[in-house]
Amino acid sequence: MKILDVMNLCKTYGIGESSVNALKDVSFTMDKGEFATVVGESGSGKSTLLNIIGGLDEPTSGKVLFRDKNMFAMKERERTVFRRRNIGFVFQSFYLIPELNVEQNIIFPLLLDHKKPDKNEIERLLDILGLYERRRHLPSQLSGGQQQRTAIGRALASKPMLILADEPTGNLDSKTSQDVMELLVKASKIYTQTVLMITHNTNLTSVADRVLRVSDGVLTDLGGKRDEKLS
Amino acid sequence: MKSYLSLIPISAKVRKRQNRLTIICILLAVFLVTAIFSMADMTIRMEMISALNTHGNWHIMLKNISDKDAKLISMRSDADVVSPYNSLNSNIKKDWYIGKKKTAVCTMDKEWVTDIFNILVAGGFPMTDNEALLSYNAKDILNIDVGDSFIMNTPRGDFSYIVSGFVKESSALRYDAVVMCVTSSEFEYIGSILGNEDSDSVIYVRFKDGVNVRKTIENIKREYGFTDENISENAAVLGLMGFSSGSYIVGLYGIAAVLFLLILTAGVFMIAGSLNSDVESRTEIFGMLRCIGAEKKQVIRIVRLEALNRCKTAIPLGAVLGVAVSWILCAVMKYGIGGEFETMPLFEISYIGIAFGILIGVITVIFASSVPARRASRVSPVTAVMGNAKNIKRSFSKGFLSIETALGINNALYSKKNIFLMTGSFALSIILFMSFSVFVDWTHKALNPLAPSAPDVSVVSSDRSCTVDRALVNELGSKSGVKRVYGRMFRGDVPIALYKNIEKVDIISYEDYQFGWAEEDILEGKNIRVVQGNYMLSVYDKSNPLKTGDKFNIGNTEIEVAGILSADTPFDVTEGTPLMICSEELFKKLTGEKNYAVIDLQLDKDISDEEVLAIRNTAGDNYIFSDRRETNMEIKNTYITFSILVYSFVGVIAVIALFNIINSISMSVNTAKKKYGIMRALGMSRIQLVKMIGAETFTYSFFGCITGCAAGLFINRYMFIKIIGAYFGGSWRIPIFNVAAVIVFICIASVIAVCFPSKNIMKRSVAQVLHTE
Repeated sequence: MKILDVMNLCKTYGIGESSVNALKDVSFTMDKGEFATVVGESGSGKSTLLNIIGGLDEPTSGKVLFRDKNMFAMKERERTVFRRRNIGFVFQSFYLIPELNVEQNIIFPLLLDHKKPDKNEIERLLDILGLYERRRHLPSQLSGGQQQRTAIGRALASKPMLILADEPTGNLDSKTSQDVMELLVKASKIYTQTVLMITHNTNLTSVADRVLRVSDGVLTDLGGKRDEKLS
Repeated sequence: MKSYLSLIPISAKVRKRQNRLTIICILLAVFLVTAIFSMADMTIRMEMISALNTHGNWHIMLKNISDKDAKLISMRSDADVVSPYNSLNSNIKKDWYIGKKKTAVCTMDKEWVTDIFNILVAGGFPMTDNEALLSYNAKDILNIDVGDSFIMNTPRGDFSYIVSGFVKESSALRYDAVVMCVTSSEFEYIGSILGNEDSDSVIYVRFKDGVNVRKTIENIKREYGFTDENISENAAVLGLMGFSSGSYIVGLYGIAAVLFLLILTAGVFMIAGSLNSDVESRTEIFGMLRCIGAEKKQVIRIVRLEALNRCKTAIPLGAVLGVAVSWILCAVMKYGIGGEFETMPLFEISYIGIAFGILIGVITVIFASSVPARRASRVSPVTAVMGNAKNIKRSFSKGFLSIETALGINNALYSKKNIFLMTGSFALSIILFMSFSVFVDWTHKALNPLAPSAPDVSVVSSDRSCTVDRALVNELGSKSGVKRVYGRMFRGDVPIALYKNIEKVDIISYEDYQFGWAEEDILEGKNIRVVQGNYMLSVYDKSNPLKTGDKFNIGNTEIEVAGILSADTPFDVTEGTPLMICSEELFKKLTGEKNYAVIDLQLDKDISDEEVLAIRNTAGDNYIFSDRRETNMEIKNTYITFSILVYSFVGVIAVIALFNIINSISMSVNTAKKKYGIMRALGMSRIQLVKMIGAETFTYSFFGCITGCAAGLFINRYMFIKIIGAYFGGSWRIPIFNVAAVIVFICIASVIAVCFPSKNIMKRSVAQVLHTE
């Protein structure tokens, strides 16, 4: 089932001679439960693509449809609510709330949506994340891997349609990166969630169903294990 | 954690330092307003007690109204007490006597005696026609007590009564005679026999609590067709209740309201600065919140409630502190000063004070948090996660300055909002100080018995005429315990040749001592001690048109005004009749008088009662001997209280300013800690870092001083003209001492403000500074 439909996306920064085309006519789709990675050089437009899909930034032209809903046709407030219900973010720098413990950080998006967290489900999620024993710990008391797992838990808590991960292992060592990736894949399988992940590390693309390359703002679908014909 | 707002108390526990600074800001505002309004409230209560004791607890007095109207008034639902009063022989013209004292007769009901005027001293209200209340003076004059019988002698026969009790004098019973109060039937009987043509019947009315007295009076006038002649108001009491347009209460609360606004503005700037820095230091958090789906409104709510959450601690503490300080001040005034402050209530809670304290706490925080809250909500999620959240538009320029100084100045100026808030908060403290410093001058001017010329005792002629023997000056001066003796001649209503619409003047003579003291009170022109000829000084008064250099004639003598003397002199000036000061020689020449109207004496501090008695005996019985030592002492005490209050307030302002400056710099440094860490890692020395913070601080101080002094001088001038110039005369001059004090204070405060965070940074290693949260 098609979850995401990115259509002719363009993004230009600046005007006139100093303008930079960060994205050039990018189009692709993602199905439910699909795990895709985006690779590319620094400054190629990966993060711009992710930010626009996540509704954090606006495209110069083009559309982003979530189950046929155009996110940029929505008003700002509506888009915020849509984002918190349908998109989960995982960042390289974790961006946890330092004052809140692991469990509180995970349930926070639900609280923003005025929802009462299901205690059993959160405990199950903590278990999957391997953070049950650490659920009362503050971010400062966790290792980098544990912090990123908490951030993944936060992205999964509201069961969004799509998880956007911007170099989630960029700040982690290779062993921890592997653990986090396995967790991300495991969680996406358990919750059948669609994941779009930016990475520099080509080793990590092996876990993805599809690999997308962005180069100078142009996206190329390199295909993947599940869909060999696209490669 | 039940709601996203639960983040607030959790965050508060972690961010104690930032919280503490904002809490202190709120606490200070609440404390000041609670204390000010509590003191205003207590002063009004004190005045109310005095007014009720002096004028009685009634609102209106009705006279010359019909019995039918009187009955209707007594049945009104908004009337609490309606009490009739009637008197005979109130002008003491008829020869009615009790003993040898002339007697007035009155009647009233029990409420009038026990409630409205509360004047029953002993015994009870007369229950039968042969009982009567007597004014308290009769007790000594006639040597009688409750239960004794007495007789009122009149040309038409004697009336015999038993004393049921005594009443103290009230404003309604102040006769130079004995007053006898009887039942209404007995009053009618006396009137029928002795004549009631001078009967003076009135009705006192007190309305119930909560009734709008002003509106009710208008209604009564309209409903019963009464005019102003039918209704008299208890102006003192109504004024204190706030039902009088130019009333005391309006003036007192007006001052409190001005202070409220000043504190509100100062509070808003202080707290806004503090919250702004707080928001800035958490830009990434707010951006992240927006990323994970927080609406702008939710971010605003978080910031606003975070700020309001601090009120939970600050408001109760501030209110308790404010009430406690008002109690201490009340006790100081009641026991330390006494006099008119003796009725000052003690340990009473002012709900108005607390309510305004709470109000300022909440309003300040709501106002102060609105800008930072909006700022936090506008943090773009994308810029926050991309790591370039601070949208700096101005590029850095080093110029000829050292790198650390240039960076410090740049830090201060990088955002218009930041420099506006910081300059504003510095400037407000200065404006507050400059405004209040006017009250210090006012205190000096208003309490003139403290002037060097203030006498301890005076020998005065009974009719202000020049009849006090001049020789007494030497005689009194030789007495033990006498420090200084000086006399004045006086002549009132001296006709002059019409000049500037003036027909007459009052003239007073000065001798050397008084001319010496007058030196400091010369507002313009010259002191005539050094000018020979027909010169006079004119005492400043709003209605006095005379200016330096004006010439007018008294008889054939042309007089020139040599200068204007401040109204801060021990004389009452009659409107329309200028008061002129001249030398004794000129006075003698103009009037032919040679004796004094008054001789003033200043005494040694440790003079004994025997020595004062000896002075009194020397003065003799032909003159009034006025001993002002106690009054002077009371006024000195009042002056001290006023000074304590005014200087305390100025002190509090200084503390606020100091705290504000330290707080602002501390928050600013806190916001930029990571940046400082990076700079340290790049090779900036600790000293360079301190210099950078110093440059930033002094940039704020510089702009704050300029703005604050400019606005402060403007307000200082305005207040001077309104509260000093208009009453005591004199023109405003730039208060150079105050400006210098402000600059020195701000410099010292800035140094202290730099020391705190610098000390903290100095103690830490580069790694600690870099990784600090």
